[in-house]
Amino acid sequence: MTEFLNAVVNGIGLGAVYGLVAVGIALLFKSTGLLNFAHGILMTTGALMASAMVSGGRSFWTAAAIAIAVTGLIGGLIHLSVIRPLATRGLFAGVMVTIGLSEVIHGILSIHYGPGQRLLPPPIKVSQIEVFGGARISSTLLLCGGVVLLAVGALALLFRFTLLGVQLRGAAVNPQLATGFGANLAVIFTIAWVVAAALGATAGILLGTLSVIELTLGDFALRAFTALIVGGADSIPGALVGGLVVGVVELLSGTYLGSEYRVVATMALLLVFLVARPTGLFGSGTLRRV
Amino acid sequence: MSLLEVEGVEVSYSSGATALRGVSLAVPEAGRIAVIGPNGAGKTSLTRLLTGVLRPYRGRLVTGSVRFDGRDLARMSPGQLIRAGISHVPEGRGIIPTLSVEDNVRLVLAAIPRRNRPTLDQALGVYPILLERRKAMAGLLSGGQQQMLAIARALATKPRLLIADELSLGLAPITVRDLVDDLHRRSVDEGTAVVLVEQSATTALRFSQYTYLLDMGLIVHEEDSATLLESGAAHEFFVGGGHDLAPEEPVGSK
Amino acid sequence: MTTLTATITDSAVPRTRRRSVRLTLLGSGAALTLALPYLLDSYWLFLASTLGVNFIAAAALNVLQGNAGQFSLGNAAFLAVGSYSGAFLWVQQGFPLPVVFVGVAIAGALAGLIVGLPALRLHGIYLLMSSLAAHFIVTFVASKYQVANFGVAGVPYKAPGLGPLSQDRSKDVYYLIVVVAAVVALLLWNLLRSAFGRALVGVRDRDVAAAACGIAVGRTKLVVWSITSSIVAVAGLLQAMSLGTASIEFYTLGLAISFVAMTLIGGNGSLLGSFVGAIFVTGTPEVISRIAKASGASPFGDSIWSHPFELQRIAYGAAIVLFILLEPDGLVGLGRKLVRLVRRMQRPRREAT
Repeated sequence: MTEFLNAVVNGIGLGAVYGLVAVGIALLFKSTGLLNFAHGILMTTGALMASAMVSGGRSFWTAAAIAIAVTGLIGGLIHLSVIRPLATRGLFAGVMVTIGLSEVIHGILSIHYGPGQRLLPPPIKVSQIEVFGGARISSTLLLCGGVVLLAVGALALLFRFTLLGVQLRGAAVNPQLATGFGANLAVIFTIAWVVAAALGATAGILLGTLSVIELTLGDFALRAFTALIVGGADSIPGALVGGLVVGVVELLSGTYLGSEYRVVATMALLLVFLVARPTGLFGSGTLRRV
Repeated sequence: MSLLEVEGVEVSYSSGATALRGVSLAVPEAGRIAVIGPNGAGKTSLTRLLTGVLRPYRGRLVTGSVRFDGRDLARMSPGQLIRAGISHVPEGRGIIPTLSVEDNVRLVLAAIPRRNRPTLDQALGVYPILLERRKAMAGLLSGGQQQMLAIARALATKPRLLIADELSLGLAPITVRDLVDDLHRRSVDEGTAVVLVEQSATTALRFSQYTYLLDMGLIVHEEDSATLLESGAAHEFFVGGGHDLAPEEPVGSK
Repeated sequence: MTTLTATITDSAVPRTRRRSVRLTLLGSGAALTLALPYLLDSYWLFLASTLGVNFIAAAALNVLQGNAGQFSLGNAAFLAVGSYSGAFLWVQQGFPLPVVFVGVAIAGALAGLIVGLPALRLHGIYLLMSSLAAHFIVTFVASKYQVANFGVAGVPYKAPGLGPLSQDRSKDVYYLIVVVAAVVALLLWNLLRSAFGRALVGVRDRDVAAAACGIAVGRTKLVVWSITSSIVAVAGLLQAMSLGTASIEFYTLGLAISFVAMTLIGGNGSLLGSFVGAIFVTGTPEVISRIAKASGASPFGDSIWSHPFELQRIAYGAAIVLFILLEPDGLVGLGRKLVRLVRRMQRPRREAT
């Protein structure tokens, strides 16, 4: 029983990380309609930068802050340089560009940082905290849970109550219409990209403290796509719920089927939802058809 | 000098289609103008030109000028146009179905500087039904209510010129009549100039003071609305006319 | 050279003359292709074989993407379906070669059918994600199979042995690839010009309108998926024969992405484009590794040329980004524009309106 509980509790913790990653992807999807395949590589960029700075002597929190800020800026630059010019070409072109970009940045990171593994120290001194039923969860996972809840809350407030949020929501459904009513897409989309990239870097850094940092860190984002679809691609809280589901499914399959089944189980879950319920648990299902 | 002066404008799209081939018209201060034309005449392109959204639809002004209160419109962004006092009710209502009624109005409020910005209540209050259903998803409203939402959104910016594109489309005649009468009244009370761009001649003719007939990208006739209505020339134009030429939807926009 | 291009493309030149020039070119090309194994050493022959395999897969993918508008990251998975079903049918069971080819084609078609089922209801991005899921699931199953039957090292593929026509391994594989490539090219060429081909374009551009015209959209999509994945599976089999082994590490997402790059670079929707794209994807690793060797950089050194594999990745990614931004019709599209430019410069009086 403890084994089961352990898997579930840690699955929820892992799910919080997935949720944070998925929220970053969902943010962009909800505001620009674009599915960002480069999110994973932005996560890796943040993690590598932070790790390099920590090795260079900075404190964890300073390194994290700088890495998150710089990655956010990179996100904004990506939007302005290669995504925005494709504005009239349809969303699919944008998605393909993010795939290509992901490969380019992957290669650059690999050359610059080398292929080896890096470490990030856990941000909180007490590493394991005991939870109900005798299961133990790492403090970093709890931190991650806190961060993702904060992110979801802030974004929900942004989308619902601010004018920027209304413009973004409108632009995702009908960008020409939103432009016609005064939205400056270049500005608002760039903001969305900066925030999404910063969230990605945050997730990457947290993930880096949980395990090792290597260039395959970004593969995590691919599995977060499952979280996105399960939750409903344009629902931010849904992305969190989806993340929890994926985390639990992954760890349960790891415990009961074997650790090599973890990835494929999440992919099977993705397929099931795509076929049976593509709008996910909370999605509105009315975004632009791509 | 008129409030709005359009001179010899030629509009074409990146697909190669030319929608307007040299159109000139004028809208006097607080005037009521109708632009009538069949499908494909270039009505929507005219509206897009006047509201600054040619570029998102891959169109451009090849030649000609548009002046609003003496200012050159062609270079202004939609946000600037809204602040300058031009507002529009898009073809097909132009509401975002997944946003609530009030969120649809808030979309345009963002373009108005804070000191001039009306409150949401004021904006919605134009039609009481909108206040009632302010939290409902706009997509769930009836056609007439959606049209009211679109008009309310346009009026929220306290415009000097309102352009309504195909107000009558998809609505029952009685609803159209009520809406247009209401617009007429507001125009008179508040001095707002209104341009009705329509396929349906009768409503537009009764509403306006002056009418332009647009076909195949050109103004083929213009006259006092009252005279035109009496002479029945407009009906002849419609029974005989209706050429499907330049598509108003640019290729690849779907 | 300009007169030659003019002769082929200029419509003022009489048709029979154009056709005979084109046929001569085609004929010499075919002769060259057949003579190649005797002109090249085994390394270059291997490259030529790889080019052939890439062309076959790219041609199929081009039909899927360019003509039917269905986007997929599942290419590595279908290649794996081919090489692993080949492993079962040929390496393990020892069936004769023709049977193996048919079996692999059927396996590929079935896999395509299954992966294509979500395509009935999904579009664009969602379809891309389902092909992503398919990639992981298929490679997982394949890896289980490989480890259970062959171990971690991979499936050993012996030489195909063409009976009385057999020469040596690399020549045999090469000719096999050439034959398959020719068959596939002819098949796809005819397919695209048939009513089915037009139905494909309808499905790509206007789903709903196509259905209204009586085109069975669902069935068309499924048929396309089956045919193209069947071809890719056969390509996977040929590739394994050429390499001499099938190993799961080879079938990565990066491989799938390189195939997408191939179709984008060559030009969506054309056979010539597939060929051009295949040249790019086959040639880039070669060029990079040669420059790396020439620069004298050691694999552990600091220079940029110490990382040929990463440079390759960057090259593919950059190609995707640049071509989408600047020339979505690929090199073929670029070439067509150049030809039009040349024609316009040559005959200013006959300027096309």
